[in-house]
Amino acid sequence: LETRRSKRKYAVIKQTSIRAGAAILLTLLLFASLLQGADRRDDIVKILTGLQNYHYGDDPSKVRALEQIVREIAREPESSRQLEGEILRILASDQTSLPAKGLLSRQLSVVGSDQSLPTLRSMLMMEQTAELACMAVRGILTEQATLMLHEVMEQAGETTQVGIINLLGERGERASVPVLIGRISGNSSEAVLLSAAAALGKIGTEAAAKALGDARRRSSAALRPQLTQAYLQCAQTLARQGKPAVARQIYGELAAKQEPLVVRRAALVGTIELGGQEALAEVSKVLKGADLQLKSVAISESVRLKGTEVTRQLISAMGHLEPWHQALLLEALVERGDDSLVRPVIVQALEAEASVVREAAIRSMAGIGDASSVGLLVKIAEQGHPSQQAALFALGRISGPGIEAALLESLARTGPQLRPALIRITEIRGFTEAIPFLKVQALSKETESAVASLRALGALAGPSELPALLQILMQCQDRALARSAEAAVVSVARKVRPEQRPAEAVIALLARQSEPAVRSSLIRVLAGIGGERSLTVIEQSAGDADAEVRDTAIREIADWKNAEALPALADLLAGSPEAVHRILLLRGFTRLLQLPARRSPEETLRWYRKGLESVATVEEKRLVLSGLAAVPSPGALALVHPFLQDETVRDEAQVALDRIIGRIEAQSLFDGKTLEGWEGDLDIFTVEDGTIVAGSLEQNNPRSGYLRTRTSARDFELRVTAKLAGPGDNGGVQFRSRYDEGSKRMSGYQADMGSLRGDQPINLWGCLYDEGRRNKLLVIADQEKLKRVFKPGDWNNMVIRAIGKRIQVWVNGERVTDYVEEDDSIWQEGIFALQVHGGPPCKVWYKDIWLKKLE
Amino acid sequence: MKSSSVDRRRFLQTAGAGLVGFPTIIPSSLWGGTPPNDRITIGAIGLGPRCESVMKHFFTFPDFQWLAVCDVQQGRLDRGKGWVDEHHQNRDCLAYTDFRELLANDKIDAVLIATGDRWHALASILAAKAGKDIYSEKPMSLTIEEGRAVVSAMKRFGSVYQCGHQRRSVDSYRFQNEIVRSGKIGRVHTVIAQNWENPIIKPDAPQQVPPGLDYDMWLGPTPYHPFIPTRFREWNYYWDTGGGTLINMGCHYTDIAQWGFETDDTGPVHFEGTAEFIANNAVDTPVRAEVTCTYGDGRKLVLKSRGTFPERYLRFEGSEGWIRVDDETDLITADPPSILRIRGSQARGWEAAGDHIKDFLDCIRSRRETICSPEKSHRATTIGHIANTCCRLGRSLQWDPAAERFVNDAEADRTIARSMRPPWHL
Repeated sequence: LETRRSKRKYAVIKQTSIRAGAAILLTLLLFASLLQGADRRDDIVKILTGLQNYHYGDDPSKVRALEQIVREIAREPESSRQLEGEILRILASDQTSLPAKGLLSRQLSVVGSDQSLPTLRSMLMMEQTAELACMAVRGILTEQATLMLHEVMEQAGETTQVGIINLLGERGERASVPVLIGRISGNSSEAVLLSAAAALGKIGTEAAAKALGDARRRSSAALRPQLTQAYLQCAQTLARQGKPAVARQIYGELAAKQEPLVVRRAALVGTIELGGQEALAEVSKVLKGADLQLKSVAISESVRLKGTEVTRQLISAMGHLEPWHQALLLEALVERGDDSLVRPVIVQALEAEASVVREAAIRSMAGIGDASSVGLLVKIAEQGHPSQQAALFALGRISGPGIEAALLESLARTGPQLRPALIRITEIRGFTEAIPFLKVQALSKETESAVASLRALGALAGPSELPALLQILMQCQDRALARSAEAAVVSVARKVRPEQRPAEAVIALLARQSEPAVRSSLIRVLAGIGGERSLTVIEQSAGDADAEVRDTAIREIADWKNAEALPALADLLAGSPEAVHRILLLRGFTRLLQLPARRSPEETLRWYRKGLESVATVEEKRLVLSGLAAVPSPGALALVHPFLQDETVRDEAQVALDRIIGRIEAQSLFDGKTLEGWEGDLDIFTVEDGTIVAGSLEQNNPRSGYLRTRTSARDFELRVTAKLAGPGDNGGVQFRSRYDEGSKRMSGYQADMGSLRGDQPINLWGCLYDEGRRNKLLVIADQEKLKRVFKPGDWNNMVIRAIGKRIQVWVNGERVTDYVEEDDSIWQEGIFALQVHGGPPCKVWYKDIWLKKLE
Repeated sequence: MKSSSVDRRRFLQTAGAGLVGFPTIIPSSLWGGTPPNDRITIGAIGLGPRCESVMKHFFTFPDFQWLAVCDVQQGRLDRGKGWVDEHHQNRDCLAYTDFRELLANDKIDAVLIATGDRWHALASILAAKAGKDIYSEKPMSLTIEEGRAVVSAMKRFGSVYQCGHQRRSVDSYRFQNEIVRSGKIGRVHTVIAQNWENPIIKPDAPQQVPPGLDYDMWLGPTPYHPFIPTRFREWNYYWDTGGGTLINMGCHYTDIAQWGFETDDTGPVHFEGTAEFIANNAVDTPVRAEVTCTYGDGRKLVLKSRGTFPERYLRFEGSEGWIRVDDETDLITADPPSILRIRGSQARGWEAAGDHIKDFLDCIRSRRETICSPEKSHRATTIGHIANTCCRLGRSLQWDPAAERFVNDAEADRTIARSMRPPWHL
């Protein structure tokens, strides 16, 4: 039976998730039984009954369960009706709390049907529940529901009436119109009248329009704005329903001079939206009128009116407008697409007196201009500020046949002032036909044009141009220009895969050159091309007889992009270069070592060890320390450690140390459940609620207990969170300790916890005690700091760090102990142990125990 | 690429900003007659942290003269008045607790609406009726019906409306969009939008409404619910007052996706996904969710609500590559990597609303459509609303973007609208 049952359950779940399309994951057991089908009805009743006494702030899982039921069954008509019935039963009950009714009404808005109407009707009659009923009835879009609302409205109080009228407005049924008209013409309260007017606007029949118009005309000034809004709404609804005549009449009425601006604006927008001759006439009237705000609206909205006749009329209005609106109209005209009509207007406006019009016209050329406009735009640009920017913008964007050729022609003809900007435009346009011209221009005496050409060549030229570009580079006289040429060569070379780049050609060229400046150029190009072969050649040049060549080579190796340069860098560093180069090389060296790489940390450390051999100055030491700080390995600690003795970089060394330790991965010594990995007094230490607990608060602890690790460590960082309680509160963490099986004694350092009571009380947290060895406090933790950070009776966090002879302890992030062992006979390696002290009642809790081995 | 007239206009207005810069097209001195009319007078409704952040960007435009602020919490009201008074170096800022009074002030031309989501649509509509121009924070609506009502009201009154989907105006997403449209990642087939997940909140008993809070006005059109501090603070995550991150953050991403897909006047047709609700969570939105929205031509928009706040990102995937913007860090990553050679990978980020406000300002003067117009914003927001419906109903949905109705699905249709607490109505 078990098997069959679970099989069936599986099947149903599967079916549900396919049907649902959305898998719903819920952490409530109840749902599992829900899905079994047979008992579904009982479960629904159980959940609904359970909700009957729901109050705000109660356990929400019942509510979530209700929502889940609705999700699961709302789409099956039969179950949905069943669920609705159950909901109604609870809703109707006097025993049901108001918050529960709220929840159920929200669900009814999804599953409600005509079945709900009687219950909702009585809820509407009660002030307390009327709002909830409105919520539920919102979704029930049947005729019966509308009729019910009409009926209830007659008997309901004002607030409910307003709620119902609003619902009727949203439902938009013509049947409601007479009822609502009754509300705006009778002696309704203001609230009822206004909501009825708004509802009529939304339903929008001709009768509604007439009633609203009448009401508006006879209304007081106070109510008029809202009635006007309803009237406008009515016009919009009528227009959407395909009754433009009434709408147009309303807009005409509202366009009258005495109406407020917002109303006239709305009337104008409405008229234009309706389109036709009337719309065009209205636009023309406004454009020739005096109202500035309406002119902007007319121009902006005119885009909706189609046809060349409209374009003509708009053009004819141009003369009536002041510059700002002319500019707006120009842009609106360009959007129309009647380019042949509009282009002459734009061309004429290029000469306009007002700069705002001129610039709008120039910019418009981007959309409407053709090849013949190029020369014109170039001419405008040649005149310089202020129209130059607009002209260049248009030249960058203008499209159509012949543009490129026209641009090339202008490029050749224009003077040195504008040429660089036009060259930049060829680059933006991706105009490869300009390459021959650019190659010539790259060697021009006009430096700016030459620089712009080289830049454009870098962007546009393909690999086939590389020999030509190298030639240009060799011919560059000017140093600044040579740099641009180098950049162009590199940019083009990098467009192909590394192995296809022309390193060999450049190397051959380099071998034939004697001029230091040219050789330096080629070295930079080689570096840009990259690859091992280039690197080898550059490394050779680092030993060149010429100082400039040497300098260039060293700098390029120091700036190398990837780790393949490490051996070269190490070799150069070992060759005792001059001070400036040492720093550059070392900087490159540490930078490359910090790039992500497949190298093991050990290999990285080998490189650092090599680098350290040549380190001499403070700055160099800092560089290497900052690099080492990024290596997450105990080996890095060993390299950093000696620098702690070096006065000049002690702080940097400390920071590096902290960073390295921070990056080394920690292992957890406590799994939160068992004492696996621990040994010792297992009768005293137990695990409760994810913590290790020992001791008693009721009675004295007969003896000290230790829970020992098997793990042993010399250099390490240990983190633990602990809490102590009781009059004899004392615990601690043994480290670098030994345990003698014979004498059952623990000996070694202890980072203490607890308090020493008496005349001079001491907070023992973080103090170092030498347990079972010298049997004394080696150092008392900084009591001032403890006062600040220690949380009595609560969890406190302790970190013990021991490296070499130095032992440091932090409590809640504050270093309270810093101790250096001076007795060489004291052993420095051993196990860890958690302690509970024997004596007066004391209980200790330990958790979150993490160890980082630093050796 | 579609070439509607609006595109052509937009193209002239904003394109090429990164290529050949050109100066501001609308010198403010040209507007109106007398010099004082030159400035746009403006008031703020809702003075929470979002308002503070956006207002600072508004303050960089001397074109706005701030006249009034409004909030239902006295403390916030005082603070907001303080911002404005400090900005204008006077004590003239009017302080209202009822935004209808602010709207009735004829001296105010425009409003910044930064209330909770429950007020966005209604306040925008009432502002339009009062003849104001509107910058409204997102999401523009609490339901699809509300959104449509905003679109029609803006049309009806000829108001300029800018939705606070400011990512359309910021550097990082603008660049992403240029790349997508230029075809550098091939044909785009998928957009992944990662939002953070909704919280788990313990149930909490109702408390006395604190002094200095007009709680009835705070609730506004949403169903009555007693004051519960966690619910009051985290309104964003309850269906009654918000819709969780799928809509709250999601609408930014659906907006950018619609932009990149060039589907600004329509939307996806099929929605399906998974949602995880937690039983003992006071929050009724799903803790985690993932909804895939599929367009008629098969392109997909995947909305995810999972992970932590800093993990949010938007990624376009195409046949030849991808480009992703990490929202928290404003870092752009892409494949092929040559895309990033066009510019660096670090961009100016999502908070820089300056250009978005500039667009609003230009449109107030020219009466043109804003970059985040009501229709575009409504379409983007609708996607988030349907994704939420998908989670709430626990099943896949078919949507008809032309009719703005679900396909033969009366149950889902009911989620398009909600009733409002009287006297409020759309």
